Amino acid sequence: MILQVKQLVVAERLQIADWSIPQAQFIGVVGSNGAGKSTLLSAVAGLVPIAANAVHLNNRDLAQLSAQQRRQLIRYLPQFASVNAAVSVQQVLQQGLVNLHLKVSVAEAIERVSREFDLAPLLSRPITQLSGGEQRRVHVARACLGEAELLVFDEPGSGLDIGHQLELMDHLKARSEAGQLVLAALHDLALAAQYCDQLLLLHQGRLVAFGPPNEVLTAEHLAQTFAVTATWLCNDDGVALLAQRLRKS
Amino acid sequence: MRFSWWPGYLSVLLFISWLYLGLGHYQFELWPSTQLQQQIWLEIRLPRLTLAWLNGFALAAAGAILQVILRNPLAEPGLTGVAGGAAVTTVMALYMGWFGALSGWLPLVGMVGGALSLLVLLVIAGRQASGSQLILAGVAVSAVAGAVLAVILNMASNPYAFQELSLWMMGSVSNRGWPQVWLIGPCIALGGLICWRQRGFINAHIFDQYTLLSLGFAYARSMWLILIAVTSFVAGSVVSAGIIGFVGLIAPHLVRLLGVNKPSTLVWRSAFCGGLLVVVVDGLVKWLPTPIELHLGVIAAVIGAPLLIVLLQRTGRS
Repeated sequence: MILQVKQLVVAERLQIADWSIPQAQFIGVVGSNGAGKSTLLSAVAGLVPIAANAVHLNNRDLAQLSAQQRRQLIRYLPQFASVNAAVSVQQVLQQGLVNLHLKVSVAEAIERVSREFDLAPLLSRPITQLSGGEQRRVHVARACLGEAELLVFDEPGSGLDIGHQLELMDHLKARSEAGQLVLAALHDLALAAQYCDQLLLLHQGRLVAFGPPNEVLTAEHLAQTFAVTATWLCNDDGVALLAQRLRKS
Repeated sequence: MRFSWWPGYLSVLLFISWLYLGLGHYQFELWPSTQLQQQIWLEIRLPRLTLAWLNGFALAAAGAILQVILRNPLAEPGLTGVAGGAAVTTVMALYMGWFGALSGWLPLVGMVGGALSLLVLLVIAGRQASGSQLILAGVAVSAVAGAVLAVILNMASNPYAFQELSLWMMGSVSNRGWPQVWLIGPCIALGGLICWRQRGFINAHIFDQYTLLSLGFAYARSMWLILIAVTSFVAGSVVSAGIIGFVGLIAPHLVRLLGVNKPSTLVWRSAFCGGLLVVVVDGLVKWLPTPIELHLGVIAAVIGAPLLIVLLQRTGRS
């Protein structure tokens, strides 16, 4: 098992009895607002204290790892990532390499993500002068620096236009196919269904379903967790979701 | 044109220092030609100049670090109550007769008070406090420090204690010498060493708190070390010169105006800029033709308080 979660409890907000992922793939974490998505991601990323043996990554107990060791294995992108100084994009990426043991040079690591996320024209500009979407791309790129076993991204596409959202999902999919486990909280169920290998559905801090998108995003689950009825439109180009709010009887 | 920092800084510092050393009461000497003048330059003005520079360095470094780690451009040792806390324990130690005015233990006593104040401030305002929350919490901590000081003075057996303390609280580097330089020197060395070792952690504060937590730092340990560095700087300043406000606020803002935004660079350049600033302000103290020499802290407040109003207005708008 690449990721194994057992009896994970975070305060009163999240309780997951048993959940495991056997191989590197693209996992979408979905659920309504307040379902516990961000709490789960921050626990897996080691940002909140967890009990021993609650989360194992490639047979390593995350609770026993030092911050430095976790840093080499996991990259985390918070939902509201920000930079509060008028430093250049280049400096943000350089700073994003702190405490990382790289197999390539700093310049090469930055060059790789700049190419991947099309950041070359922005490198010399102060990040505070970029648009919200451009800033988000820089933060995603920062979280993709170096080699990691697990990418934990909290709503990576928020603030991005549809073109960049699709591009981002393509990048994350490619990374999962290259052997990285990608765990991303997603609000767009259509994008989640289109790109993710498996989905984890949370509701009120509990795991409702885990499996392929067609088994998780069922009419019953959508009604239970989002209070909507949905019609799915699928073809080779993508997936769309037509949703309607359930009327309270 | 690219501004070359160190040669520029050293040239200005040397020039200002020469003006400072030559500046006497109602006269200016280009060079100490007589033995008496040499004695005055080396034994009175040079230690005062050194003490002024070190105080500015310490206060500005502490101010810049507080601004970076609290992510708040209004943080400053005086406004956050750290200086007040350091003053309380220092005065307590002095008036209770635990240590003499030049005891090497005094900076440690000041550090304890400063650290306690900073911890109380963090508890009241929280780690992500807004500018107004921070100022309010700082006012509360300073008020408590002031009240405790008043109680200590009330209980002091020395009838002139209040007057002595009032003068000391205004902050000054006059009538002080090399012994005070030896008090603040080790504090700056300790604080500077910690800042140098923790420069990666300081730099990572450009990121939001969640990103910072994911970057592999032993967060609690690093924060404690930074706390020790800040209180070391402030305690060194308080025990050697009293309370000098606003330097920690002004210097980082001046350095930001020069286009410096990287946190560790901001801290170091603010510190050097603060040193120069206090030397200039103390030069003004000597030069202004007032019947009684004004205190350094008073002039710093006269310059700094209006700047605080401007900054508050700007922070409110943003």
